[in-house]
Amino acid sequence: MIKYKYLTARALAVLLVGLIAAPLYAQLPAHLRDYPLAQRRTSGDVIAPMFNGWIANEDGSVTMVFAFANTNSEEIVDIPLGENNYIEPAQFDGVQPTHFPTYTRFGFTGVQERGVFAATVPADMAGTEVVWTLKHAGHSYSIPGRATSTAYEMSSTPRAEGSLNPAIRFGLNGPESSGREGAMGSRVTASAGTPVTLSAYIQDRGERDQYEVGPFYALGTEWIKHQGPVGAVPDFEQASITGRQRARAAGEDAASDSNAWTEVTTQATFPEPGDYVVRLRVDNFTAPDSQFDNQCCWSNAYVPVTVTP
Amino acid sequence: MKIPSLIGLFSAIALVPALAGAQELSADPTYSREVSRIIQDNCQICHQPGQIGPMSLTSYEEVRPWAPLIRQRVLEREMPPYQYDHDIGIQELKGDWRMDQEDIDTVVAWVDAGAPLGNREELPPPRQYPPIGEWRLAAELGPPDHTIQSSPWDVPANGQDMWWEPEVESNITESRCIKAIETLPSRAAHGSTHHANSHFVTQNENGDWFPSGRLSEFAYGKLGEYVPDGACRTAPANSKVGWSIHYYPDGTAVPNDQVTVGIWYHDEEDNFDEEAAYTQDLTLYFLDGGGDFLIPPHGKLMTQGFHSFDHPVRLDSWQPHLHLRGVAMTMEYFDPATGRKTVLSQASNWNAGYNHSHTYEEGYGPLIPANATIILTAWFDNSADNPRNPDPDQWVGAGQRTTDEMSHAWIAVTHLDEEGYDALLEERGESRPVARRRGPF
Repeated sequence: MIKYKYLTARALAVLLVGLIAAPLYAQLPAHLRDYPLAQRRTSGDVIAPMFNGWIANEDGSVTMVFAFANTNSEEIVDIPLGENNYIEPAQFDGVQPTHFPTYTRFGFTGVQERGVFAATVPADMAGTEVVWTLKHAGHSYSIPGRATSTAYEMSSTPRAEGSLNPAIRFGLNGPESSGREGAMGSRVTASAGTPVTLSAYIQDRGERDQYEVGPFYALGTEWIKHQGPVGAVPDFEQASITGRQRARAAGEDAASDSNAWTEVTTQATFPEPGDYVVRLRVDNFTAPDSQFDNQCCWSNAYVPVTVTP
Repeated sequence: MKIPSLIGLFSAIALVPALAGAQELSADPTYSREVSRIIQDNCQICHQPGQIGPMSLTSYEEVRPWAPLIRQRVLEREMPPYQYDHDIGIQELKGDWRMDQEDIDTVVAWVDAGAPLGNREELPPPRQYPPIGEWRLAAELGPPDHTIQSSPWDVPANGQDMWWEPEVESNITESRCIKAIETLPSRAAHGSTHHANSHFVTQNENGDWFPSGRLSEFAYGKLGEYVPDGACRTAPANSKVGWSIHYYPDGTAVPNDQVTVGIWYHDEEDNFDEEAAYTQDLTLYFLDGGGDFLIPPHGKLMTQGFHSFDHPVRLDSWQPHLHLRGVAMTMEYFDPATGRKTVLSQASNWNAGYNHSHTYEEGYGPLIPANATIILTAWFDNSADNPRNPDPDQWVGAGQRTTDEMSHAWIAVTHLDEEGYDALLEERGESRPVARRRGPF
């Protein structure tokens, strides 16, 4: 009986609290009550494959631009090519990264590493979706690159004040990268633990004559492990240099009249043997109309490196 | 709380629907007698030839085919497009587009009865509206006292989002307090001008130019804004204006496009006392650091941001800014002295197509004591249930493109001191919140 009374009183209390709380809780519309709050974990969370957009090329082909976001705040992740990291159709597989660093950038730029690679669907395969699958920490995401929504349309035409994607060459008379789908350089060989020189030539591009801006801008560079053995993070001497830093080091302004090819180099030290691919990203973010989160302007190029013991 | 007062509370709550239902409607509403006036008051400013509404609603013949859709839209409060909850937070707003419930009920009853025309002799005379490309605030304030234009730029018909960020001379020769501001996209680029922000650039003692206060913020659908009495947002002399204009090509190329900002100053009859006015600014307040959030494919997410001031403030306006996956935002404040959390404003049916600066009426701008916390919460829906979602299969992160997301609010804040805070409380017949005595809450 005592237990019954206790339960009855408890039930009444719960009912009363519920009646009081219900109108307060009801202040939040029903459709907004099941949302998780954004938060970052230090490790064990998703590596998100991301689709930045599509570019319609003049020859009828379509270039699909991809990115990634490591949602962990600390854990750097490697996911080898294969069952946990692949692209379909298979003809496009193999160009994606296996190395996923963390990024924390100011303002709207956030955690996403944009425009890491691209795949071009030929005109005779129009309508084909390029799907990148990444599996990590119990999560699996397959992200389609598709040219269906104009909201995702991108272009390689000049930006608001004439900026274009910079140019990258591995030899002054060699093939040129301009855009996210970068050229692959000649294979470099190195020994584990011994620095090796990686180099390229870079040049700003723009059609800025009609605007009150400089004709050319100093370029920023970043050398990044794109693919390689799990846990092996190469050391790059001056891995990242902004355009402003490069201009300052040369005693020049960020904007200039000169647009000579500039040779950029880094001493790369690989900690263990294996096959690596290094990505060189070249940007003209010192130009007033160029910004990472605006998707312009930068170009990629890739260097395959074989590291022996 | 004692039981009798609880019973009273429950009884009162129970009566609310009954009272709402007791509101009398006009019997057998017709287009000529009631609905035409409601359409004039709430719809025609956009739904007339040459305006942004996709169909014209200026006559019975034009309205009748759309009657079922109009019924649905007004009932869901999707139209008129003013996303601000009507049942919570501060309801006293300037330029409030929300329809009265009585008008909604009239439209619904009219459509349900077969949308009858009624007697044409009861129709109101046609109404005149300012066309696109003309100042909305001019009807009340006349033409602006000063205008500043962005440099001309060719808007492409198609392609990626573009950001045109020129710096121009303000040609302001005397520093003055602003009474009202309106940013006006051109008629031709009205559909592709996603946002147009402007800020002043001023010179310091060393002659270096640096960004100073925000002049204005414009996004799709926004009207002008007033600076409330007793507050001064300064237009500085000998300044420049930096523009950040986000164009989102919509299929129409617009050569030499220019966006214009108009400034109205206080007239003599305003009796505005610049010396006594408190500084007001319009600032972007991030939620969740601005860029550290990702919304999974077919997923949902909530972001939250906290902001405090070491002095009392009055909030003059609140403008949520989200993109296509954003569905709602709330602004609350928590007062540690009382342990109370209060909802100030809520938009639970956000639509990126219409960015309103919800400006509180004089005497209703929330007064926030020093060290209280303003809490901004936003909700994102990346599922196919969100009708504005361009592709629910994608991860969505922060960024400036329309298909990326943003998570912030523009808030106009008047920075008070304790004396000014007390004076405003007294004007409203209020007193300082009573601090809790002990215990957590």
